[in-house]
Amino acid sequence: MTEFRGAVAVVTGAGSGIGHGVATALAARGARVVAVDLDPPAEPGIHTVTADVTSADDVRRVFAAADDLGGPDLLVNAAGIAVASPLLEHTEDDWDRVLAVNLKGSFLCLREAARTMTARRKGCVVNVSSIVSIIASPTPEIAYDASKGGVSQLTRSAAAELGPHGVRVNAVAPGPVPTALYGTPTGAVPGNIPLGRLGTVEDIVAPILFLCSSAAAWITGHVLVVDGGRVLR
Amino acid sequence: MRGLRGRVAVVTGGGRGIGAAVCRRLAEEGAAVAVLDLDAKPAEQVAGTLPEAGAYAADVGDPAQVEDVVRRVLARHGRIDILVPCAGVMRGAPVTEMTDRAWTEVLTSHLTGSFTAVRAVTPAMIAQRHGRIVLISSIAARGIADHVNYGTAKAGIAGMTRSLALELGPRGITVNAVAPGFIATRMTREGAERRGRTWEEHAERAAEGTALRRIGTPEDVAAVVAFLASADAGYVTGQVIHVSGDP
Repeated sequence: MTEFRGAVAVVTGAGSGIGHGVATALAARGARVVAVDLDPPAEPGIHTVTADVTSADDVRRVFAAADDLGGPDLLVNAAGIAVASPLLEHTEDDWDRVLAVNLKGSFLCLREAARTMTARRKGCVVNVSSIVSIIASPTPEIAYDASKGGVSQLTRSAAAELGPHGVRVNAVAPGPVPTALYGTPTGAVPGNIPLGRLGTVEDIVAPILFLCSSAAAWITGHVLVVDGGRVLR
Repeated sequence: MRGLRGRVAVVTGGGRGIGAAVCRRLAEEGAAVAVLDLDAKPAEQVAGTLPEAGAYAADVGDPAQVEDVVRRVLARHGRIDILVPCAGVMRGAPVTEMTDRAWTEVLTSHLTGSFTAVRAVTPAMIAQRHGRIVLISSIAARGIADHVNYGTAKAGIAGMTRSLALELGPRGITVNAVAPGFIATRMTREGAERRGRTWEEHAERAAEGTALRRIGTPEDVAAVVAFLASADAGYVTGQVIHVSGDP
C-alpha cells in the first residue's frame, strides 16, 4: 500500500464521489494529496485547496500549492457537474456552466500540470470521462454528454502531444455509479448491465489508480471504460 | 502485490515472449500458473522458476490437447480463475502472395486457439461463478499492411472479447483484451529480418512512431494483464486496452 509514496497528486472534485474516493485512496497509498473542491474535505493527511476549476487564477493557485510540495506527479480531473433536463429546456447558462466545469476545468488543470510535468519529463494525468461520451445517455443531459465527449478527445490529443515529454494522459469512462452527481437509483438494477449490478466508487477508483501506476507505464491516450459491460448492450 | 493468491491461471503460449512475461507476473501476484506451450522445453523453463507452476505441452490448434490440459489442471488445482491465451504465430506476405497455409496457421493459432481455450475453461469458471479471461488482441486490429491474416485474427479477438463479455458477464466472468503495440519479442525480431533491417533500426523506427517514444516490453503488457485479472478490474468487462505507448 505504498505504491505512491512521495508522489504529489492533485485531485479535483475531491469533495465527493469519485474524486473523494481517489483522494483518500492515493493518500492511503502514500501520496501527498492536494484535494481541490469548491468545498474540499477536511481530512487528516490531505492538503486541501478551496478553488473553482473554471477560474484560471484559482487553478494557478492550486498548482502553486502542488509545486510547493515538490511539483505534481499525478493529476486526476474528477470535478464535474451535470444538468438533467431535456434539450429544449437546457438554458444557455446550463450549457456554459457544465462545459466550463467539466471541459474547460479539465483543460486548465491539465495545462497548469503540464508546465511542471513536461519540464520534469514525468507525470501522469487521468481524466474522468463517462460512457455517455460513447453512447447516448438514457436520460437527457445534453451538455454533460457533450462535455464528456470533449474530455475523451482532450485525453487523446493531450496524450499525443505530451507523450514525447514523458507525460501520460488517460481517462476512465465510468458507467452508472450512484454518487451525488448521478443520484440514487430507485428500483431494480438495470437489466442492461452484463455484470448485473451498478458500479461503486471503489470500482472506478481502482482503475484510476491503475492508470496512475507503473503497471500502466506504456498506456497513454486510452479511455478505459469501467461500466460492467453497459456500452456493449 | 499478492492480489492473486489462491487463484489458478492458464496461459497459452507461455513459453516465450508476452506469454512468458504474463506467467511470471501472475505468479508474482500469487497465482498458480499452468504454462502451456507448443514446445515442452520453454514451458518447463518458465514453470521451473515459478512456485506452484506446471508446464504442459499442447498445440492450441488441437482442441483435444487443450481440453486434456484443462482436465489435468483442474485435477491438480480444483479450479481455474484466469485464462490468458497468448499463443500465436505471424506469417506475413502481400495478399497476392499469401498462401492458404499462412492464412490458416495465423487464424488457427490466434483466433481458433483462443476460442478453444475459452470453451475449455468456461465450464469451471461458470461453476465457480468467478472467472477472468484476458485475450490478446493487437493494435494491428486497426489494420496492418502485408499481414491481412494477423490483422483479421486480432480484430476477431476484439469481437470475441465483446461477445463473450455480454454472454459471460451474468455468470460472474469478465472478458477483456489487451492490444499491444510494438513489443520486443521473437515475433518482432523476425519482422526486422524479413524487412532486411537490423533490430536496432527496426526498433528505433517503431519507437519514433509512438507518443512515449519507446517500444514496449513483454512486462509492460503483463502488468496490464495482471490488472485485468485482479479484483481491481472487477467492473471492467468487454474492453480492449491499448498497451502501445500511443493514443
